[in-house]
Amino acid sequence: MKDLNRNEVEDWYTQYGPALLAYAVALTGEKGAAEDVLHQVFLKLLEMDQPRPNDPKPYLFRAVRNRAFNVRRSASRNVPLDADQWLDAPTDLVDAGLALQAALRELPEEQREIIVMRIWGEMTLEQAAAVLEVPTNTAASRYRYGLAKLRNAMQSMKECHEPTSRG
Amino acid sequence: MNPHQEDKDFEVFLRRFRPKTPRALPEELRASPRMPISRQKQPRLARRIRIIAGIAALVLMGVTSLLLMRPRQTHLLDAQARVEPIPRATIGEFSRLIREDRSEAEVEARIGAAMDEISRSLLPNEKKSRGLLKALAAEAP
Repeated sequence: MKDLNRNEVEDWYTQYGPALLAYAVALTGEKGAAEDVLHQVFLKLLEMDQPRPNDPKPYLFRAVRNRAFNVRRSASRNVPLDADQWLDAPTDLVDAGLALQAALRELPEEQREIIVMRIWGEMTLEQAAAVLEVPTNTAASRYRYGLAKLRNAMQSMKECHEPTSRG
Repeated sequence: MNPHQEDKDFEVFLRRFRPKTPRALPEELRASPRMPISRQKQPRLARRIRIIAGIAALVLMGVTSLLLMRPRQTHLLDAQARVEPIPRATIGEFSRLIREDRSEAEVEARIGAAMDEISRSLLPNEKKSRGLLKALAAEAP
């Protein structure tokens, strides 16, 4: 197997960094902590002489997941998902972006992480299931339930805000 | 609407939001030449080996010197016993000689011999010396 080189690692950071950041936020609850997790994962890749994984995306998501769990275990307190914006919204959907982040915060973690992997990581259910080490059916049901809850939450927020915005 | 289609539409909606780009990797680490971990660890490993070898050498030297000290001390005691024989001419011995009512010349000779014995054991042997003592001994009548 070919060894990783510096340029490849940096390309991965550029290519997968945003999705991995979203995933790390879903697990750590803080954008700052999530960035730290990402840095630790990528710097380790830069330092170490490692064989190149066949499929880098699931490999990176798994590495971020392991690192985030380690960080969480070593943290002395439970950190709630913070209000830092980690999603860029289109100009016409700024409020919806904030609502989406809030709705994601309310989801159970196992649903939140698979939604992030599928939507922003653009991973297949099989890839996500492999990262989570669960059967594909389990991953599929978590995703479906999570998506339904997210849609309902977004709908509720929209309904709450619309009468106010209309005056 | 078909729930499956509803999910698809919602996925499209969600993908309109993009996660932010994480802050760049620290520059100093990106700029440092990438090295295999085995080579990076080599200097550290060598330093550890040197420290361990140094400690082992110190311990070995300490143990060796302790072992060497013991026989040396015994030898010193032996040598002392050889060069400082306890003279038989004690005050008690002299008193006994006087009380035995021997002739004055005999007592004097015995005491003189005892004193010679003492001085020989305490002072350097003038016959073996190559310096001033030998010269003085030669001049003596």
